[in-house]
Amino acid sequence: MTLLSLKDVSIKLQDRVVLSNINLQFSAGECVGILGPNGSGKSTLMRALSNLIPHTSGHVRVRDKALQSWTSADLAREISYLPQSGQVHWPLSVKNIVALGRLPHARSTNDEVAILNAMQACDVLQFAEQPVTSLSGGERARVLLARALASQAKILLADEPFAQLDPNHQLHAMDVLRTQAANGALILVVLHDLGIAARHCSRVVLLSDGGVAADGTPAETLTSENLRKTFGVDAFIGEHAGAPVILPLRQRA
Amino acid sequence: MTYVASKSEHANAVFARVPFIAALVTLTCITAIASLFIGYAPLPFADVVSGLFQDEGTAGIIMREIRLPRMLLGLLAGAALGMSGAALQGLLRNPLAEPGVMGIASFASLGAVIAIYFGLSTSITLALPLMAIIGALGAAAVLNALASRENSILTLILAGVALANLAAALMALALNLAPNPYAVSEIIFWLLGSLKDRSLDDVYLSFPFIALGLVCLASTGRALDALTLGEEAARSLGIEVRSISRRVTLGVALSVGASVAVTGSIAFVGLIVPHLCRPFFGHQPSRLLWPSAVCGALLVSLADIAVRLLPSGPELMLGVFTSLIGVPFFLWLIFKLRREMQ
Repeated sequence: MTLLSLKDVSIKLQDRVVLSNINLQFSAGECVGILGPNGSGKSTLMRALSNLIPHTSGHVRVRDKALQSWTSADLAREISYLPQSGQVHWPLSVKNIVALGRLPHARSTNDEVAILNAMQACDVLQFAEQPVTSLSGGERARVLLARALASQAKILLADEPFAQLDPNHQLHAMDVLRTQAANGALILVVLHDLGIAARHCSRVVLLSDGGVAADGTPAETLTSENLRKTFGVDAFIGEHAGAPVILPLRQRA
Repeated sequence: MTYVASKSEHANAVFARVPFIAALVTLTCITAIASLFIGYAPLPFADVVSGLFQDEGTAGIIMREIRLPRMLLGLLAGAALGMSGAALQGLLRNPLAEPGVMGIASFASLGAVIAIYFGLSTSITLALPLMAIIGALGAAAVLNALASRENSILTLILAGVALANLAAALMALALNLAPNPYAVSEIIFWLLGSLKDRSLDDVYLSFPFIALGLVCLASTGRALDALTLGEEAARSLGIEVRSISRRVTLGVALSVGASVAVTGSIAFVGLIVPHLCRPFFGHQPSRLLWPSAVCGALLVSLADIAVRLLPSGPELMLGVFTSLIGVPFFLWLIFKLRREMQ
């Protein structure tokens, strides 16, 4: 089932065309890695899909309904957005931060279950009563991921959620996202780690120069030629225990 | 992890705050009642009580025309300033925000100064408070017009700072061009802020605006909570940030405008009160709104008792007193925030 589709979508930010003529379709159950060099429009795509910035032309549809025709409250129940910034302005307890994910919903008894499940999934239950500002950057990133999961939206847009996580928690968080996808959610996650994308995403969209450079399974998209073209790096692409391993080697002149 | 345990855990967190709220309300009631017994004319206990219920006689006049309005206005103005401070700190996500920062209180003062300057306040009874309220609403309208061009709270802050400076400049201009020294001294005394010599008419005039403003502010709690995560995350949670900032500025304009209209400017209450409440009620913006209103009422009532008891020649003006105790607190706050950031 197609949850999210983009047809000829272009986005301008302050007269600069950031993305042009993007055509993509995403279905329930996919865990899609969005990759591309700095400035290739990954975050812009995420923000546009969350209706935080308008798309200049083209059509974005969420569940067969134009993005703009959703009310913000209804859209918030469909799409959960985890921004890159990781801002937390007040020292609320971890549990209260995660509970903010329930704001789009009317207060109900499901809230507690959703909050606790999200905290458990992200391994932050032990911090529940601590102020979030007392946690390390990585711990805080896990709390914010739990906040995004707590809304139980069908679509999760996560902008570099793993940048501050240690390897163990990166893998753990990726497992969490894959589990969500396996349960019928659509996950779009901006990543920089080619190896994680190759091993854990069911699909990779490679953005470059404001367009889609490649779209498909990790094996189809993360080829040495594509990596050279988009990132300007040579890469070792190998295999370990049946799963791909990608190691960027050196910058090309 | 069981559902039942978590439910009761949540209930505990809510109930943990009940004693604080009860204590705060009780303390405020006691202070308000005590303030009825404090004044320059010594009144025996029986006269204080009977004076409240009779129109005639010295006790009746002292109680119903002097002490009761003073007490009620202290509570109203304190509640308005306290909740406005809490809401603005939540909206701007800045622990140093207060009604003065947004230029709303300054424009209320400016409205009043204009009323005094053109002699409106002597010819029309309610001209001064009405002009102050109009000034506050005007500032809120300009703020929102400026801020609605962009979906950003930073624009709102900068526009507020500009407005506050504009109001200060125009008030200085009024003092500069004042036709006679009486106008100057009247303007200055009014700007100092006081609850002295107010009447029940002032209470009747300000109450509906302050009540409406408080209701308006109290309705923004959940949105302010969401703003803890930043503007974009709040918007992705379905919060219309623009309409929330509009509602907060309107609520502040109504409540603080009406309070400035009848009391003059009482500085620092809006800044201090949310900080006094946080150790007891936590940092969640929605949970600070009503406690800050009660705590503001308490603080202004206490300060107004203090200025009556202090053995100064002419009574110390309430606004002067709150500034004097407010500034050291402000400095302490800055150092505390700096320590926390390091």
